Amino acid sequence: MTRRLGRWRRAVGVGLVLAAAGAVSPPAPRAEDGPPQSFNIVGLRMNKVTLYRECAMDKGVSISRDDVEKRKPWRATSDPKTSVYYWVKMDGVDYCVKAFAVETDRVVPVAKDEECRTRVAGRPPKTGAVRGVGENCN
Amino acid sequence: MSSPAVHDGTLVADSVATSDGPSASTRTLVQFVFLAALGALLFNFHGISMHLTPWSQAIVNAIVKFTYDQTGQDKTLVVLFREENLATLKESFPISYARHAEVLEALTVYEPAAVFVDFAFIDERPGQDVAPLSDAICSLRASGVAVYLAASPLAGRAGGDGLRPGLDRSCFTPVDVQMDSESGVSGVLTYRACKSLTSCAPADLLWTPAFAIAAPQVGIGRADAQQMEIIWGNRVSKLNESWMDCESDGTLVHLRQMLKENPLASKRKCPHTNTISVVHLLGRFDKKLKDESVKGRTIFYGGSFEMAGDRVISPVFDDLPGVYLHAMAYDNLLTFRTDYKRAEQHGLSLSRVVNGLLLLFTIVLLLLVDKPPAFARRLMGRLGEVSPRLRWAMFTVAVGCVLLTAFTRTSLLAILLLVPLLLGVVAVLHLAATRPERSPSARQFLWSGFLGATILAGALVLFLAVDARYGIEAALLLVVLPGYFVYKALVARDVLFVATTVLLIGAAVVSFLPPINLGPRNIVAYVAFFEVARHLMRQADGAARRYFALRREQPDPASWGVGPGVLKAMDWLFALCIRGDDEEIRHDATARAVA
Repeated sequence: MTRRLGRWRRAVGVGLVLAAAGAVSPPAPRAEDGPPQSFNIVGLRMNKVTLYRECAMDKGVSISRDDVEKRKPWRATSDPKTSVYYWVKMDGVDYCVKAFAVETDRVVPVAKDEECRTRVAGRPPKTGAVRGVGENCN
Repeated sequence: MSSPAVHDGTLVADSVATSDGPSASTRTLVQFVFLAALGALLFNFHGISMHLTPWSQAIVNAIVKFTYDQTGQDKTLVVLFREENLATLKESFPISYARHAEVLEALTVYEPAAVFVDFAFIDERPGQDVAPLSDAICSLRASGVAVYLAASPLAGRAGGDGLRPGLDRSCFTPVDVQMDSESGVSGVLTYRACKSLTSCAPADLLWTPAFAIAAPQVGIGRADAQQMEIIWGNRVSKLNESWMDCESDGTLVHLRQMLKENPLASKRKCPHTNTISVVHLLGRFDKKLKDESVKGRTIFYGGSFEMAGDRVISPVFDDLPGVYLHAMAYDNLLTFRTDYKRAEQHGLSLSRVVNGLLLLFTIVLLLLVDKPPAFARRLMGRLGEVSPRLRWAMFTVAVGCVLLTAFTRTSLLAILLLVPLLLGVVAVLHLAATRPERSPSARQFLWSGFLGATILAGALVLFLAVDARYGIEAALLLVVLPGYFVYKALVARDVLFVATTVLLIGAAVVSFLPPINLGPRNIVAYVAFFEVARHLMRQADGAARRYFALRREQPDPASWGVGPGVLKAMDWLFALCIRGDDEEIRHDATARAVA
């Protein structure tokens, strides 16, 4: 009887330790935090696609299907922070390209949707102002 | 049911006392006018109708949940630019033309049938070139996709659509995005066909997005287009559940909110319309998404931003981004096609006519229940003398019409159902006029109490179970309503209430079906009016009888402290409150026999 009680105590103790460890351990890594995936770009889904130098939207360079043909196999990597862009190198400079616009030689995995557990319906806080008032007045 | 004074000795004496007052028909007429005025007051002003709308709406939501077709949901997709997407895409508000162009380019890849852009490009933006956006719109159009752009409500801008210059007008159709006002807590329930509320016939009037896209698909002409009453579908969207947080409040929270406020206080968290965010669209190309949700569908591209307005309050969901209103209206048009539910009909407001008829029926029943006037008893009593063969023939016709309605698809469903409905009205009026009063025995009294407590406990347990599994609307429809009916039928033994409610529901169904095509009626308000007015009439009848009993005991005007003229006027006034008449007593036995 005493031995059985001791076993129970040990089991409860181990359970508590495991529970505590779970509570303080970091959350499971998100896909976008994981290592970048490497793959090849094999085509474009549109006639022309813009590449953005260092992913700056004001530094766009347009490429055509022919440009891709010349560069095939064109090495690309996924962005660890977002699923929206892939990174490519062109003439030694890093560019990002819209993910939907290119065809790849394999399916680039997205382990977790960035939009997970989003609430679309809901009551936003009521405010007495409108967004953007006072901006760019001139 | 009826007050104990009805059949006691006092009544006979009272009847004698009122014999010099207004006749039975005058009393009935005055009571009719009073009830009609009361009904008009309660229904037209901020009264019973407004307060009971959430309850009625919750029941409608439950019915819609189980009956609304999937057709529109399958063919509609909302692409939402969410507040959080701004940070992900390193974007700021308002979204740049280049980013909108990017979204439209991505949509081109996914090959939808039509795209409505719920962003109005009104002002010129310094430092931003509109050409990429215009090119993206034209390239979408060139790939065979119909493009619709939200027009500005401001008049007098370039091109008549109020949009900024620089957009190629040949590549898109401008549409009017004005939203109708909210109907109390139910939110927005109506949707315009075009900019005008009266007629869409003039060719220069802009359509609203849903009508602009659906009109050619379902065959709605400008002359036929009328303001729509939106049925807010609430089917489950598997696509939405795959990424949104759709968890609703707990059952006990529902119960508390329902009791504290109303059943609409706790609404659904996930929209009915299939939805993806721009991050989904701009991310890795997804063939499954293309084939199952985008290709050949109609896309409603809109935004959801803090402090930017553009929210729509619906009776089913927590506040949604405004684009869902257009998507839901389009969904309705695909689902009901030309039989979409009309808010108002051309010129004549059919909606008001139907409301008036429902009120009239309720008032006539109120005058007949409990103490029907002798002439009504005579008239309705004759129905009991109809030959059994004719009765069976009528019954067969009624059942035949209901079966035809259930198993055929015709545009005359309401006409078919009108036959059994009218027969039902006659049957209920007959029942009301001839049904004898019954006093419960002591055993029945105890049994009713026990039964009432059991029904209440059972309903509570069932409510919690159904709410947890199917939601609060289902719990209201499947537990609260049947529970109340069972209570009224078995405990209160108020068969007339049940029959009246069934008929009112039948009338609501008839007015919903083609060719009438009206939106759902607020049946709860009529039923509540029936109960409240019935109670008031009993009280008035009881007060009048007490008055005449006192008058008999103290006939001298001096003891009342008023002159003989005033007392005579009082006699006349109280006599108007009396229900039934002398003949009631004499024909009581006959009525019992007929019933």
